[in-house]
Amino acid sequence: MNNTTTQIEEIISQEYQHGFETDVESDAIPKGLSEDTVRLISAKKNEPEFLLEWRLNAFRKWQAMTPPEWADVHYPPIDYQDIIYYSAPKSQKDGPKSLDEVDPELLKTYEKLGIPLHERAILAGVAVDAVFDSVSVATTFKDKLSEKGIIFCSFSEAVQHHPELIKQYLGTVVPVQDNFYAALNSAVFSDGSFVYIPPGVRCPMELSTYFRINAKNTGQFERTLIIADKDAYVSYLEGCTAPMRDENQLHAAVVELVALDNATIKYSTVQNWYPGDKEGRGGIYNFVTKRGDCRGPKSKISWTQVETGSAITWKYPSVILRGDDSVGEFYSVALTNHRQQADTGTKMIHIGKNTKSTIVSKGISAGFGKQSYRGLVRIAKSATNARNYTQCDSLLMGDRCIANTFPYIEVKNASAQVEHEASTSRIGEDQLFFCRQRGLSAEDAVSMIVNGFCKEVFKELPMEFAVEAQKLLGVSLEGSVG
Amino acid sequence: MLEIKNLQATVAEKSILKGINLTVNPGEVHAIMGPNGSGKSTLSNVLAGREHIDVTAGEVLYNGKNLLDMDVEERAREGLFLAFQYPVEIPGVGNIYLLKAALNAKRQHQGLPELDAMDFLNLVKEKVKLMEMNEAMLYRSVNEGFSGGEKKRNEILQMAVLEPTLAILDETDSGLDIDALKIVAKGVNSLRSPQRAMILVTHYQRLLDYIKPDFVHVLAGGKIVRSGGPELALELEKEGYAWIDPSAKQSTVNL
Amino acid sequence: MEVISHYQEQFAAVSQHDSPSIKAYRQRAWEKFAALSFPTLKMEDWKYTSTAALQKLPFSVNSSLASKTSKESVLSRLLIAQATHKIVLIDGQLSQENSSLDKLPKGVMVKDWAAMTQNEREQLQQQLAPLHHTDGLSALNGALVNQGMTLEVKEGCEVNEPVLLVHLVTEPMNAHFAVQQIKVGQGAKLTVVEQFISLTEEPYLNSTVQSYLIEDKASLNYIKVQQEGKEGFHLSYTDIKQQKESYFHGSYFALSGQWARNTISTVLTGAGAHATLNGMYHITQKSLQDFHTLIHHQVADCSSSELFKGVLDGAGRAVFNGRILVDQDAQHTQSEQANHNLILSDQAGVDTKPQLEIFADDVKCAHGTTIGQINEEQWFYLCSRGINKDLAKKMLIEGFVVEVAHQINDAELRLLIENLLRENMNV
Repeated sequence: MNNTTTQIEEIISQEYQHGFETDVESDAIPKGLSEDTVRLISAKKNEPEFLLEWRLNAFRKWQAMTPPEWADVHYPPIDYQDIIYYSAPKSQKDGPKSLDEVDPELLKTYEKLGIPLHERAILAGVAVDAVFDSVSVATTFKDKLSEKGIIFCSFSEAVQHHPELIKQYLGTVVPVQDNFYAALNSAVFSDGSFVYIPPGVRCPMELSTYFRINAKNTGQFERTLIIADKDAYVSYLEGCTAPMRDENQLHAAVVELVALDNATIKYSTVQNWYPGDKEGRGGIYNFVTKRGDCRGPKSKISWTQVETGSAITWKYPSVILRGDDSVGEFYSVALTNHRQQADTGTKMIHIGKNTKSTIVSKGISAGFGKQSYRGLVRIAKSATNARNYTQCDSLLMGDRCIANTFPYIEVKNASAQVEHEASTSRIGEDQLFFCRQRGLSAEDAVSMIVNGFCKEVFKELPMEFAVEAQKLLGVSLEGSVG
Repeated sequence: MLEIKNLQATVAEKSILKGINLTVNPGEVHAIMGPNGSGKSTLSNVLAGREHIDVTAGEVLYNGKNLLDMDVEERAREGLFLAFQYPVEIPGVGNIYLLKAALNAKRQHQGLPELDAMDFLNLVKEKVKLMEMNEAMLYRSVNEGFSGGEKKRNEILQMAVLEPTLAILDETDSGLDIDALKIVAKGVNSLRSPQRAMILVTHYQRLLDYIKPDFVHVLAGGKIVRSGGPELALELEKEGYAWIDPSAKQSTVNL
Repeated sequence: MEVISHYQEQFAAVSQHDSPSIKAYRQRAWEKFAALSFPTLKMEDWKYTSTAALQKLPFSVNSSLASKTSKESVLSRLLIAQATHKIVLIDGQLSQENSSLDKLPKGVMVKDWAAMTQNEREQLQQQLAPLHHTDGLSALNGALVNQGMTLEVKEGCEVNEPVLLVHLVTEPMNAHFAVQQIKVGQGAKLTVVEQFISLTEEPYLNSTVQSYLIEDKASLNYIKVQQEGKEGFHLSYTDIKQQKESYFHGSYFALSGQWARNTISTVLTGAGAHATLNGMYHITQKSLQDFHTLIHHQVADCSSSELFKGVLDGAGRAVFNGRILVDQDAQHTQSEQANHNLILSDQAGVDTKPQLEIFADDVKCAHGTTIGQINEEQWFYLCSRGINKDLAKKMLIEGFVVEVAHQINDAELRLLIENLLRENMNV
C-alpha cells in the first residue's frame, strides 16, 4: 500500500470518528433481515434507545406490508433476505487502484460530461490525492457554516450530537408505515445527511452531498432530514451528473423536509445511477420516498429533479401545504432510454388557506423506455383559495417507447382553482429538418430541441447544475436518433 | 455552381418533378414561378435534402459535387440555405442560440475557429439592424409567437448571418404586407454578390418588383416550360398561368 | 351480505323460464358477481365512487309490471314529443301506444326483449359477455337482465330523422337490468336520442349494458339525457366498436339523479375513424355523477376529441376519469381531451383524473383540466352593464355549459339541448 492510500484511509476514519467507534475491519454483518439485524445496526451505530425503538417499530410494521403494485414498473421480486443490511464504511482497498482498472465506457462518459480529471477518479472510487482536496474543501465549508449555527453533517453524526432534533423531527413527514420502502428504510437506514438552519439564517452557500466524502458510503438505505427553522433559507443539491459506481441494486432512500414559518427549502436532485445496459440487464432500482412539510405559514418547499439514471425509478417528491400561504413546487425532467422504466411525479396536498402549488413535469422517452407521470393534487376542505397549476408534457423519440400520464385531482373546497395541462408529441420532424438545414448535426439538433423542451425545469436548477444537466441529457440520448 | 439535370422526384409515390434542367452560376438570381401544385416547393425541398422526397432520376451538381449524396446538414455547411415557406417554431430554444450553433457548425466545417462571444454578438446585432428587427427577438424562442412577417424576416436574418453561397427562398413573400416585403427584399438585396447565387421560388410577381431576377423560369406540371429574362414575369402577371395549364384558371382570377 | 342473498333470490326468480343456455349464461354472470361483489374504494376504477348507498337498497326485479301511465303524462315528458321515430319503454316494456316505429326506413330493425326469441336473446348475451364481466355490477346486470332491445340499421341506409329512445320508470324500488345493442351497417347513418325519465321520487335502479357497432364509413350521432328521479340510481356500461372511416359523436348529459355512473369506451379499430365523446354533468343536491371514459386508438390515422364539463352545486360530487390509450401501431393519432369544472357551492367537490397512455411515437395528444369558480371579472363586467347579479351569474354558467351542446351536429337537436340545459340551470 502506498503512502497516498494510507493518508486517505486516515481521513476516512477521521470522518467517522465523530460518528461511531466501530472497527473498520469488521466489514459487514451476515445477509438477511430480522429484529436482530435491526438491533445490531443500531448497536454498531451506538444509537440512543429511542432510535432503536423507532427502528424496531418500523421493522414490525414493514413485516406486515407488501410492495406497492400500482406503479407501472416491472421487475422480478426482490429477496429481502438476500441483502446485506449493514456494512461499515468501505476502505479504499476494495476500490480500483487506478483509473486503468475502471470500465472504459464509464471513463468515456465522464469525458463527455466534461468532469475534471481528479473528480473522475473520486466518482469511480479510485483512491487518489484529489480526495484530499475534496475533503479539505468540505472542512472549510463546515467552519463557515457553523459560524452561522448551521448544522450540516451526516445523519449518524446528528444522532450522536443532536439527538433532540432527530427525536423531534424524524418520521414526522414520512411516517414509518407510509409505504413498504419507507418502512424498510426506517428499520435499516444506513446514513445520510442532516441539515438544520436556525431561525432567520439564510444559508450562504448551496449545500451539496457532492462535497461530502461519506456520501459515497451512505449505502443503499439513505436517510436525509432537513429542517429550516423560522425565516430560514436553504438550497440543497443532491447527487451529481456522473454515473456513480455502485454494487447495490436496490436503493430505498427517504428524504424528509420540514419548513417552519416563512422558511424556504429548495431541494435539487440530479440522479444518474447506473441504468443497466442496452438490453436492460443490471441497473439500479431507485425506490425513493421524498416529502416536504410546509409546516409554518408562508413557508415554501421546492423540488427540482433531473432523473436520467436507474433501471427503475419510483419516486414522488411531494409537499404537504399545511401552513397558510405556503407554496409547493415540483419541477422535473425524467428521461428513459433503452429499457429504463420510470414512474414518477408528485403529490401536492393543500391543507392551509391560500396555498399555492406548481407542477412542471417534462418526460422524454426514447428507445424502449417506459415512463409514467403520476401526480396527485388534493385540495382539502380547509384549503380555502388554494391554487394549483400543472403542466406535464411528454416527448417521444422512437416507436417503441411509452409515455403515460396519470394525474389525480381531488377537490373538496369550492374556492379552489386548479389547472392541468398535458401533451404528448413526437419530436418534430420539421424541427429536426429545420435545424439540420441550418447546419446542425442530427444529434445536436435533438439535444437542442430536448433542452428547449426542458428549459422551464433547468432554469430552476442552480447554474452549474443546469449546465451539467444539459450535457447529461445529450449524453443519455446518444444513439436514440437514427 | 448549381447544375440540375433531368431531375425527377416523387412524393408518396406520386410523381411531382418530371425532369428539371437548370443551371445557376455565381452572382445570378433566378426566379422560379408557377401555379400551385406545379412542384415549386418540392424542388426547393429536394435541393435542401428533405427526406420524404424520393429522387427517381437525374442528378444535381453543386460546386462540382453530387448534392443528392449529401446529408441535410452537410449541404447547409457547404453553403446551401433554404428560407422556409413555413418557418418552424422551436419552443425553449433561443434564437441567438440557434444562430450561434449553426454558424459555428459551418465554421468548424470550413476549418475556422469558433467565433468568440463578442465578435458573434456584434455580427448578429449588425444583421438585426439590417432586417429592422428588435434585438429582443434574439432572446425569444425560435419563431415561437412570431407573426408571419417576423418569421420571414427571421429567416432572412439567419441567411444574413450564415452567408450562404446558394440561397433558396421558398415563397418568402407569402403572408407579408408591403412594408414587411420591402424589408425582406432589402435584406435579400444586400446579400447579392458576385459569389452568391439565389433562387427565388414564388407564385406571384410581387416579390420580383423588389428583387430583380436575372432569369425567370416557369414551372408547370413538374417541368420548366419556359425560361426568359425579367420580362417573362411581367408577362405572367398580365396573362396569368392559364396559358400553361387550363386547370390553373382559378389562379388567373386572383391575379 | 344481506343484499347479495336478496339478489340471489331475484336471480332464481328471473331465470325461471329461460332456456338452459340462457340460464347457463346467467349462472356464469352470477358467479362472477358472487366472486367480485360490489366494487369498493380500494379498486382503482372505483377509488372515488362509493357503492355503499346501492348496497343498502334491495331493489326488486319485476319483469311483468302493468303500466298505469296515461299517454298524456308520458308525452309531456318526452324530449321531442313530436319525434317521427319513437321507442318508449315503460318500466322496461315497449309501450305500443307511445311509440311510433312505422315511419322508420326499411333498413332499420328494432326488436325489444319481449319480442325476442330465446335464440335471439342468447345471441345478444353472447355478444355482451365481455362487457358483463367487467366488474361486479356489470356481472349483476348479466345475471338479472330482464329487458332490452336491439336496433340495427342495414348497410347504406340513412335514417335522417333522429330516433328517440325513452326509458320511463314509474315504480319505486324496482331494478331495471337492460341490455341494448345498436348496429350501424356500412355507410349507414343514424341519430339516437336516449332519454331516461322517472315518475317516482323514490329510489330505483337503472342498469344498462350497451354495445354499439359502427361499421365502415357509417356514422352514429348519439345523445343521452339522464333526467333520473331525485333518488334514482343510474349505472351504465357502453362499449363502442368503430370500423374503418366510421364516425361516432356521443353527447352525454347527466342532469339529475342521486347516484350515476357511466362507463363509456370506444375502440377505434379501422383507419380513418373518428370519435367524439362529450358530456356535461350538473350536480345540485347530494348527488354523485361519475363518468369513466376510454378512447382506445388501436390503429393508425384516427382522431378523437373529448370535452366534459361539470357544474357543481349543492353538496354533490363529480368524478371524471378520462383515459386515452394509443397503441403501438396507432401512428398519426390526434387526440384531444378537456375536462372543465365550475364549482358553485362550498359543499361540492370533484375528483378528476385525465389519463394519457401512449405507446406510439408519432402522435399528437393533449389534455387539459380546470377546476374553478365563476370569473369575477366577467361577472363584474356584466353587472357593470346593468345586469342583475343573479342573471349575470346564470348567463356565465350557461355560457360555460352550452359549449358541449354547440358541438352537436344536428341543428334542431342542438337547439333543443341548449334549451334543455338553460332550463336545467334554472333549477
